Amino acid sequence: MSSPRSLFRTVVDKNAPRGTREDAIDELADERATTQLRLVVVTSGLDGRYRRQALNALSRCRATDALDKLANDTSLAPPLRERAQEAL
Amino acid sequence: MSRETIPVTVLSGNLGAGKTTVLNNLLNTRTDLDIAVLVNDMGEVNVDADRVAEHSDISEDDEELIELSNGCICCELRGDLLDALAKLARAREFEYLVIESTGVAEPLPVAQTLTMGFDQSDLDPTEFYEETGIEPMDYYELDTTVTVVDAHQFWTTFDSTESLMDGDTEKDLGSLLVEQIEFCDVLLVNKCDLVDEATLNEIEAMLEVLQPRAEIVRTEHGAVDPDAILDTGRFDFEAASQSAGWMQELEEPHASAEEEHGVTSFVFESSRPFHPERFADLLNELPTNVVRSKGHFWLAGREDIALGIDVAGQSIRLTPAGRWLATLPWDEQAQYFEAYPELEETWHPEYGDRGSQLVLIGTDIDHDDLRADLETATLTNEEMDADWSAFEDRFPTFERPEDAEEAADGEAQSAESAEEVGLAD
Repeated sequence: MSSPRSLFRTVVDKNAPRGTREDAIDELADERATTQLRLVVVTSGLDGRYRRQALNALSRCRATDALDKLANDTSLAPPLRERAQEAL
Repeated sequence: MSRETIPVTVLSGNLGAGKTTVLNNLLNTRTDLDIAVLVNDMGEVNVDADRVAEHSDISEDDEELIELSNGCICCELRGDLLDALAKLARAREFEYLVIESTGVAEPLPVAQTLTMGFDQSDLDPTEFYEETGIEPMDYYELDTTVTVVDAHQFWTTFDSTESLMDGDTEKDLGSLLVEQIEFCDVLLVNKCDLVDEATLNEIEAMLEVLQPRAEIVRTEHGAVDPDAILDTGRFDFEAASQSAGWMQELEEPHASAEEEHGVTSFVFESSRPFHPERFADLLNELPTNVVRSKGHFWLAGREDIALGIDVAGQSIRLTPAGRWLATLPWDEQAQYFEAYPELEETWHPEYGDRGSQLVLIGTDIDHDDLRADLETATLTNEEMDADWSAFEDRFPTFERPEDAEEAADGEAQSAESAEEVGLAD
């Protein structure tokens, strides 16, 4: 089983196939690796699909602390922030 | 044509570019192909659908022509679009579908809806979808996205300060044109008969820089070879999303001063922050021949977040562009260093990853002059040691929506309302 840190590297790896990257987010959710999921959401330049998937994963994990941080993060694009707020 | 899914072509383009004329020509040329048409119009009366019905053999009575009115399929009618496609696929057999968007539609969300359907997108399920469970995109496949550009109005649109309402959203004409150009597979340069060859060459040179991946086709009176826009198999969501010229320029920066017809681009990079007053002044006086700029920047006094800038024609849009990694706790920074080892090379011992990177695209721009102006707008050695909070900062702040509402009684402005900026006031 991969560690959360290596799963995070897979998610942000532009050379990794899309399915592998999506699976890595699911595995992060299975591991309840909420820090890494939050980092995926805030990574600028990363395709919005992965960032939204990570947000949904945080919601499924009921990671209220991480979602609260995102909802209050003024550096984050408003749609992601609003979605984090809705998930709380 | 016999296949499991029905190919779809989406026509986009500014108001008056000639989308309906292209569609009518197409329908009158490919009479051998059983084409269904969906026409979207912002108004209650779908004028474009009426024109299609009037000028071609297809009709609403035979369920060949579907109208979606009173809204836009790139935003509030996304669910209705999928419902309409599901109903159409259930109602009758046909070989090809052409969708004509409104003049204010952004192609990316339309393509996203047509790629992801209900299952994979964040759309709320419609009543029809919940009742039937039909995932319309099981029946369709987005084949080609086409943007029709009006050659005669091309430069005027970029210089225009006019904006249009799309629902509650105000859209600047130039900015919309850029979005439509930057996300497509085929660019139809229409009304070529109304401009001279030199102007056409300039327009094409600009289109090639803004959108290097698209096939560019010149047309007059919307007459296009159907093979150029039907069943081309050109659509690829990933490729289309990454194909804008400014993205290519950031991936592989190069000063393309040698390009023909005066259309050039370059990347400005600086590890010093911009002075908020001087950079605001520069943006206010940005030469009109800078047609497009995109990137992120570091503003002195804003040490926590990067600001994103999006210049298209006369519109300047600023957005929050994420937190600088240097502001993150060390354990979180470490994970980025593991994921992006190249970060070490550019990491500043004091300022970390803070810095600016802007792509600028324009016609006859003097790279040296503009680069010098941008350099002058960054902090001097003395200012680097000064108190940055003393600088006057007219750039928008990005508050939480509820904070902005609370502040609305006072003089503060909300982040969302401040995105589209005029910094002079």
